[in-house]
Amino acid sequence: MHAREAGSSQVRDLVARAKQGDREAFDGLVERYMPQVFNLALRITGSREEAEDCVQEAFVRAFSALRKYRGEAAFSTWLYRIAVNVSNDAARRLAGHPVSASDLANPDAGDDAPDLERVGRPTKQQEPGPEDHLVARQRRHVILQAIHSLPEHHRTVVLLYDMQALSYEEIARITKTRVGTVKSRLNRARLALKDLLAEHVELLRE
Amino acid sequence: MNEGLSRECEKLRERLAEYAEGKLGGRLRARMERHLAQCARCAAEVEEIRAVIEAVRAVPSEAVPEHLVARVRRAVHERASAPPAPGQLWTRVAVPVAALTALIAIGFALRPPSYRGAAPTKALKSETALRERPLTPPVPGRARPSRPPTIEIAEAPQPEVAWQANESEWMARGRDEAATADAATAAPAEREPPAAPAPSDGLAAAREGTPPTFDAAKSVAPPAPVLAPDYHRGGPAETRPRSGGTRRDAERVEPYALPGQAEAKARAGGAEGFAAGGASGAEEAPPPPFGAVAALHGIEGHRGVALHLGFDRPLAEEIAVTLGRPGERRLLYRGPSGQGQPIVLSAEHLGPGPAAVPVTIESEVGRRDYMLFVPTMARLGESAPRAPVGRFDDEPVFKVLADFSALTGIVVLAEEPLSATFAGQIPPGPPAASLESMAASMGFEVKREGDLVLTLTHPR
Repeated sequence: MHAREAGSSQVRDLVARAKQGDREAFDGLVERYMPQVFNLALRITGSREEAEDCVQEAFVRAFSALRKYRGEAAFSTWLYRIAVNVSNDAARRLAGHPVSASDLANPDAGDDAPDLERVGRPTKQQEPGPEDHLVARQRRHVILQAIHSLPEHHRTVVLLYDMQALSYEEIARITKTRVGTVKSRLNRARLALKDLLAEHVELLRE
Repeated sequence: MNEGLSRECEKLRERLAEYAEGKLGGRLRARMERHLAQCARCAAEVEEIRAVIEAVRAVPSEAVPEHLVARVRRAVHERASAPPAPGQLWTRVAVPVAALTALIAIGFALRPPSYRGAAPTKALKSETALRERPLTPPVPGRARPSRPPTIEIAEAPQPEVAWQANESEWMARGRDEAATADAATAAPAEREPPAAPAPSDGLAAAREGTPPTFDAAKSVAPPAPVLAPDYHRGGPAETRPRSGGTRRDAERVEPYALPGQAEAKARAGGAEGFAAGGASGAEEAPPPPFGAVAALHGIEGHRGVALHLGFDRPLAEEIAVTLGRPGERRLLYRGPSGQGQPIVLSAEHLGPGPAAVPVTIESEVGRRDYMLFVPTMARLGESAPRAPVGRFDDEPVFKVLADFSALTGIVVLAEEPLSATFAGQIPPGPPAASLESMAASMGFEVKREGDLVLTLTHPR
């Protein structure tokens, strides 16, 4: 708790300085929020290249609009909203384009995208072996594919809630909806995910 | 018993994920547990949802590419160092002008010819008068006024049935006055170079009183009688607060008034016009958040309605338009502003008949509350095939099931407080009466002058 408060205070300080034109302060904000924004953009767009563009665009937009940020919401909420909007726009543009496994999962998946039919059920081992890594990669791939196939506002709440660990209230601010709507969308998204992942239940339980 | 369980399944299914996550409490949780003890299917579903939640949360974050932080910093620094590009300035001016011009063009194209150059109260005396007036023929060789692509309605770019508030005059005038006021109030550092001319001849044509060319072949005679809303900001002096230079007054956007009205109102009501309001707040208030205009019209193909929103400037990132009274608000639209994007509304949104619906438009730079009046949406029916035209909040959006070939009515998107004088022949009978009673129930003072003028004033 104390660390979090200290973190908030640090962010407030960085934001205040950045609003005064201190670019190094904004650099600090970039560094601090880069992992979250990048992962958000990556999960939304399903494309590493597009995600990098979105991240850049989101931070540039945030910088340009920083003077309009009045501090009514947390800076992260404000920033995520920009990132979500930019990324969803990109995702809409990309709609219909196939999403590669390497984009959705770790880059080390490369062209060796998991072939679920080929992989048998691995035996449990004390130390993670190559098969465990393969299963983990498979699992990640099918989950991300399933998330990516959700409708935009379902995908958004799942990513923000389960992957970014934001609260209902924060998500409601980001998506400009009511908390009840967020809950409802999250519920529907999970039911949809359950159906999408039904054939991979065993894989999920590995 | 089975049927009871099935209904309970249905009711509780929406909360399964909350329960699976341990977020359900109180009576609902107890009820859920009782149900799960009896329903193996739902119990299994809860387990599956739990597995999904855990699996999703277990997906590790991706490492940020090493070069990305440096790339973003570089881009931010470049943006910070770069002077505003001419294109940016142009866009800031041209986009809203284009959006408004499109509305103007539509307004001119769709309005009854009797609006042109004549006082509505005199011009719209009768249905016969409207029908006897020919549409302005298309001018050979002249292109139609340019519109932003986004203003076009995918299903039907050319509304078949024409009825439209006569925004043209008040928008044109509003922009002139707003520009004057902005120029007066803007700090020197924030003042932009003079705006380039609007990229369309629609606005100029509106100012000159010459309607843009319009392909009459695609139009039909306007329905009659059609009401002509006559917008002004002054309103009856006794119902309007005095603008004593308060911040609220200064922030109020007063963009729309017919030529001569602001002056007349200023004379009658004591500096209540837009220019006076803008000037009085010049010293103490920032520029207003934004102004918006709207137009509602039918879509070609006889079913459907589109709401066009136009803004006096592009807003920061996006706007959110919500519809409905507090507590019942629904998000109607979220997206970019400044492009006059048409929004297809469904009957479910507007209701089946006369309505006065609060509309809230929010953006990064502020919030505005409006009243959307839909006095007469005639002939709503349920017999037509219902093909969704899109999805809204995860629900299918249908075209309005209204036969707009018979539509007579107006829509006013009015910022409160507003005195809107509807000059025209108001159809007798339930629709108008409903409008009046509805407006009255929402705090608007309703003043009717015969069958020609209905004044709605919302006292602050």
